[in-house]
Amino acid sequence: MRTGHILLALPLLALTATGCGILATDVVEVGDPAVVDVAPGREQSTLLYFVSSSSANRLMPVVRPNEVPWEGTPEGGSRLVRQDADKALVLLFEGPSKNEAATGLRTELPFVRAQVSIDLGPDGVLVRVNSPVTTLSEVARRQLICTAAQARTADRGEAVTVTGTDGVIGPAHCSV
Amino acid sequence: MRLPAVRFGLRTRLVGAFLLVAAISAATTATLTYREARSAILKQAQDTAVDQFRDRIGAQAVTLPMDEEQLRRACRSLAREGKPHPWTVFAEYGTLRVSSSDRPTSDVVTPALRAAARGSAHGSFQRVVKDGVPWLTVGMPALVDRGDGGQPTGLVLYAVMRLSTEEANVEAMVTAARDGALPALLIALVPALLAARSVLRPVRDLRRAAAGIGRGELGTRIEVRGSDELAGLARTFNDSSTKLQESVAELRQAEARARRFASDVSHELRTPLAGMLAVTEVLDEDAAQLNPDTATAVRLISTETDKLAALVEDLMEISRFDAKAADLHLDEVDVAEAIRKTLEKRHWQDRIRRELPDGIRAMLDPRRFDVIVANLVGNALRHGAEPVTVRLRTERRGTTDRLVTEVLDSGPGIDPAVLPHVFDRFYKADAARTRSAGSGLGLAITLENVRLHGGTVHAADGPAGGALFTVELPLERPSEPPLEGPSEPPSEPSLEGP
Repeated sequence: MRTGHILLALPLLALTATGCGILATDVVEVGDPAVVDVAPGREQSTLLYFVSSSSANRLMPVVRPNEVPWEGTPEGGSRLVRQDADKALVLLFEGPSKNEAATGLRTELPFVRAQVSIDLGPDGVLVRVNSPVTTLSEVARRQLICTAAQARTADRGEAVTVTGTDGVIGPAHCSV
Repeated sequence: MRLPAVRFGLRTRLVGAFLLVAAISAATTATLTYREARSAILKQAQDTAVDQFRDRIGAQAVTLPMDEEQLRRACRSLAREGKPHPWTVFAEYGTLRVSSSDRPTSDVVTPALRAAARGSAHGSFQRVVKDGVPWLTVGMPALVDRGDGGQPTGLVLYAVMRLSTEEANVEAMVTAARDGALPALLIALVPALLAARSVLRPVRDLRRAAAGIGRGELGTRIEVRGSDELAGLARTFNDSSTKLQESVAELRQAEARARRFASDVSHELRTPLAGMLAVTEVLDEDAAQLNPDTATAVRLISTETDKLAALVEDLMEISRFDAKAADLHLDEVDVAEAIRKTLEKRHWQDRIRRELPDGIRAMLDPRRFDVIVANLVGNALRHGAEPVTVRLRTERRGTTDRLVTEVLDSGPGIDPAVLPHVFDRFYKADAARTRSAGSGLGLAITLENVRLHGGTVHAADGPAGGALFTVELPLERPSEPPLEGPSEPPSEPSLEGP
């Protein structure tokens, strides 16, 4: 009878003894991430994607303020946006600035004086570049596609087709 | 485990079991409560910290890319807003590692949390215990939303805080549980003792009553309380002792009737026997003038009548003992002289070797002492062989002097099978010899007389063979009245060998 009691009490005691204090846990996911405001806003800036040198294959967005503040009527907006979109790809091909490079950003795209045009077609964004594109690395292609989609449309998930001097990439979707 | 159960009393076991149950339930309740309360405290702290951290980060405006100075400013601004817990904020952006403290990276943040915070679009937390100190680490990726859903900025912020308040609260709960358990057990001791008492009191009563019955107090009864099993036991006990009392009373009545019958028969026989004795005396005197056959018959009748008269006298004597009607008339007696007279009266003085030192005086009933000596010597002469020795001496036993009288014969001694029965009434040592010279009551009467004096009598084999009867009597009158029964246990024939 007593043996039974003791046997019953032992796990309880063990439970009490081991359960004291605050215990460590595994990583627990809790809800949404934080969303920060990035200045300048979408209308006054261009978003470029470079590669993080600390972790390869990882695109990091960079916000460049538009050099020429846009003035004009909303009707003319589309033309200017198109020009800005061209500009964005040109800037992308130029690579990260000195400040950006200091934070560990780099590009996989070759440094070229690119002649670029971006159009919005029924199948998505069409990009023409006067350089070879099929030899670009996977990360470089994603840089190109994400920057183009972001620059030409409000939705970076838009399908993008890139036509270079040696062939066509895509249509592909940006994934960041 | 079996040993203590045997060693501890019923009370200890009852109280122990009670306390054990109380301790188990208290410990279980305390443990479950403690675990619930602890997880509630921690959950609240974690949720608050994560929500607050997320909100504070959302209030930050950044430029991309961030430079080191901007990161540090953001970290410090966030660290200032850490309430109620001060937290240290660490930031990772590209290759930059900045914090609100003087160390750029934390050794509390685990690689698992870093991987989770950088790889997924979710906030994560992890509790880490480092060197016994509990920390809460929160990893929060910062996203940017430019109208097409959030996308990672590459910035990940970590908040690291000590859970000191929670630790104190949790420890306070443990202390409270521990401090509460002891008084709870002490309080549980009261009902435990009461319960043990309510069980043990009937048991104690029962034991006392059983002991009373054992002492012969057949009227002992137990008070029956309540209607539980113990009350049932008490009732059964009472019924049993009532039945026992009735049976014993019946037996005593039957025994008394039998004794009275024997006594009555003896009395009724005495008167005709007296007449017969007178007649046989006359016949004896005239026997010489009768023809030889008739003379033999007359003498036989005379002898048998004498025997019958002696038997009736013995029966009446023993009846008086049984009826507790035997009186002791003590007198100061010269013991050697008394024994000498006894032998002379029966014309035995020439057949007996006497070792009787003079000057021993004792308080005795002279008539009864005469019967004692005469019966023992007669028994020795009849069943043993001459020479028979009577020896007298005094011995000191403890604080009292005892008068020791020994009668030793030179016969074959007493058969060990017979020895326990030599003082029984009508016990015949030799079953084949149905008739003997004695009445068969001599030694029984001796035993009763010795007991009446508060003494003992032993039968054993003598050192050189032969039966040895030893009578021990108090030299002075015993302090307690001997009529109430001898203070010594009834003399059992002992087997003290040579």
